[in-house]
Amino acid sequence: MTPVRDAAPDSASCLPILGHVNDPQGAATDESTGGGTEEPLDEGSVARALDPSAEALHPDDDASPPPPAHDAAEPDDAAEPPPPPPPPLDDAPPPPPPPPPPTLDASAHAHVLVDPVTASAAADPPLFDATAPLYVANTRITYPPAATLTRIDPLPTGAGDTTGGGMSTPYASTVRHAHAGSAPVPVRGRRWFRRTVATVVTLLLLATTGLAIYLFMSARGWRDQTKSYLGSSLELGGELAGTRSDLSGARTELEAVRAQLATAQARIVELANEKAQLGDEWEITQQLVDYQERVSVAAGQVALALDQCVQGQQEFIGYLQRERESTVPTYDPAELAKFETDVEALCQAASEANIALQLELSR
Amino acid sequence: MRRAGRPGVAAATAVVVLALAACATEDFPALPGPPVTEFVPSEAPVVRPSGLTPDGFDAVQRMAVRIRNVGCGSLSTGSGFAIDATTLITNKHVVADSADLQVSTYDGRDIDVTASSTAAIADLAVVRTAEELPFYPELAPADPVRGDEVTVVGYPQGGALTVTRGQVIGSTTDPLNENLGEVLVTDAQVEPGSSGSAVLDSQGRVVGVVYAKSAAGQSFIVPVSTLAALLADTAAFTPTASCTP
Repeated sequence: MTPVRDAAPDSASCLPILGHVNDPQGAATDESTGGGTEEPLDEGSVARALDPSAEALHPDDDASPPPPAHDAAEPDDAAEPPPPPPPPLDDAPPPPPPPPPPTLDASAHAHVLVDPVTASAAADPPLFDATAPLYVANTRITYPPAATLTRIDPLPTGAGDTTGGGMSTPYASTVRHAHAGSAPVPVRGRRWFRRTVATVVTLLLLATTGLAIYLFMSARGWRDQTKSYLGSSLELGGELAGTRSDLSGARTELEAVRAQLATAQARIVELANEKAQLGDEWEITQQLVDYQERVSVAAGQVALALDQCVQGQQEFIGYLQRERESTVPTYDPAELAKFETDVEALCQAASEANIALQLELSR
Repeated sequence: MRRAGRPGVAAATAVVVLALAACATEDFPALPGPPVTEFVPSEAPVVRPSGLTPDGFDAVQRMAVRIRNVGCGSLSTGSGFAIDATTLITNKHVVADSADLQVSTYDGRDIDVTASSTAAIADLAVVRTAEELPFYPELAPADPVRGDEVTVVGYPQGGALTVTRGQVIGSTTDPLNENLGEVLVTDAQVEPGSSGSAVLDSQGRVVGVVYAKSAAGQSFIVPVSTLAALLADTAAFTPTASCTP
């Protein structure tokens, strides 16, 4: 029996793999009957299970930390007292095959199972006998490097798992560990990978944080500006509604004013025409008045001429009567003849003027 | 240690490049700019010419005048239009044998006439006024052609101001033998009293002067080219002889 390197002082951790947990006397075999088959592990199964290069069931989270054998390869664990430096994995030869069961080395890749596990995957014969329950004490185990772990499909569970008497347990979905092949991974490569991942994660975190802050500020700025614009929009909307109402009223008034303007224009044209017609009539009337004045003057002159004609003829008649009643000649016959001629001329002119007047009045 | 720093720098560079590339896209939300406080354009709206006149009358109406020829025992009326602030164009037979010429505008205002002169080779006359006329158009640079829309504004029958529209249907020699050259013929309806009316094109420019009509209703127009030529010739117009009572 090989003690675990950093095992707890409790010697129970050093129980053989077939022993029951917390049962240093190894009487667990009697209790294991309730968990399934009681077949002990054969040596081949144990050997395969403890083989570092073979796949293994992953312990639960309450398992002990990895042994210092692997911690020595981790630079982050430098605070702890350095254990005896193991040979570098790069250069280390593959671990020797595990000794026979009586000399099991707990530092080797082992499996800590606090409950019986029933492996029902028939497709995993290389790992161990799935039908055989494993009872492992709280044994310190050494994890393989994280970089060499690969997640595999969980073990199938179900009715078929209990056919052999085993019961389905949470460990049915346990992850198996396996070394990534048999080739060792360089320490520098892992360190580089981890640094790169850490750097990228850190940068992404910083970038995400900055982006979140930026987006928060942007959203807040937009929100405030939107609120301001909303207020302005409401105000402008009110003004627009008022303006539209005023515009509608103004358009209505404009139509009315246009109608009034058209009416006024028509009235102006009508009045201008009336004024022009009145002007024409006034001119015509004025011309008629002038004509009438001229006719009246002409009629007066005609009447005067006729009166003079009548008077001249009466005077000539008087001359002739006195000349006939008198025994001696009263008037010079020559002058009397001349007077008669003048009267006749005057009467002729008066008569012609009268005729012309009558003709003018008859137009 | 130097080998471990390279990937860090490369990763940082990659992250920065990715971030910048993401920020460079158009859809990346940017911070709001300064808030806009002026939503109303500060520039005054452009005032477009609407053709409005001080009293709402069209320019076509405002340019026309009514001419009353008070002769010696006679009275006649005609039309005319302004070509500048104090100059009218009408027909020679409108102002002939007049003892007094009286001009009134579209709105009934009377304009005193200071002088009139007539052309010897065309039925055109120029009347000078003492007061300024309301509006005067410009002369078209060329005569209208067949098919052109024309507008005639005048005082047919000595009545109200009337605007009629028609179309140039051709040109012919002067049927009254009062013009040298050809005159235009339109289908615009005119009446006695329309003599001296302005004939306008679609742009409101003078393209002729109405001076006669036919029994078929066609109107004869002295083209604007003749009018412009006579106006350019200072000796083309002679003072109008008054009538003798």
